[in-house]
Amino acid sequence: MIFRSKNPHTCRQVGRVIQSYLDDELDEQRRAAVESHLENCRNCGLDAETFNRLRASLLRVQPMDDAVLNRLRDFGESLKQDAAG
Amino acid sequence: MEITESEVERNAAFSSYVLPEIPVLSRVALSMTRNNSDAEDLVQDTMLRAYRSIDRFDGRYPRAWLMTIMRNAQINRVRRRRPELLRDPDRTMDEYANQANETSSVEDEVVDPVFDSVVAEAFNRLPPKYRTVLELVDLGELSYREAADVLDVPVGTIMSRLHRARKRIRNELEDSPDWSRNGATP
Ligand SMILES: [Zn+2]
Repeated sequence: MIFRSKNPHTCRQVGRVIQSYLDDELDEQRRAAVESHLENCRNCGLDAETFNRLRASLLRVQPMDDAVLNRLRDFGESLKQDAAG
Repeated sequence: MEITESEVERNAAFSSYVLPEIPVLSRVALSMTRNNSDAEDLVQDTMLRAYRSIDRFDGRYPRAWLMTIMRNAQINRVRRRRPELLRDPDRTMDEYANQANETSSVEDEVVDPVFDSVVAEAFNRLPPKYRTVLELVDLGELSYREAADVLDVPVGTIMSRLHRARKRIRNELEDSPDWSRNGATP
């Protein structure tokens, strides 16, 4: 069975642009083509999910320490106050 | 002491362009330095440099402007120090693994500590030019165009390095016997 009518893009074509798609770097036309492919293709869907998890994971292992952030905000404010004399 | 008009403007620009970026700057700094106190110093250094040069900043793409400043600041810092003290991959991997275990999920997604540690280790092993692009785009949340401006390379170079870097990490995930695809299969 061939799904040509539903999947005008092949998996290989989608594989080449899937990361740009996930990064929101595709133009409208290509974005729509990838989207419709993803609706019908489980393999590419899993691929997309892995890349999404990968990014989420990278963000998780770089923790934001609130104490540090607060110190940095204070530092930023102090730069302004210094300038104000 | 009188506050001059230019100081008021500078302070306003600093408040709107720099202060909101502190969390993102911290995240990228932590990745660049792999060390909490160095990361804090680096962000401070970046803010100081930003404050001094904000008169010359045109207000476009503040995050990319700040990343450029931070990158230069980090390059200067590395030059000043002995390289063997800078990066201790083993320690960082342990830290990352611990952090991955300690960090609880705020989102609804399934957080798999094994997945996170494989990703962290693969990320740490990336060659610097791949790692840098991931830092700018995934951690620094820059667009491809902005990252290209920071590194002064074509957008196509950003794209190919970024995509290759992520594929390397994905391949390590696939090769990892410990990673169950819990989240990916029903
Ligand atoms: Zn497909």
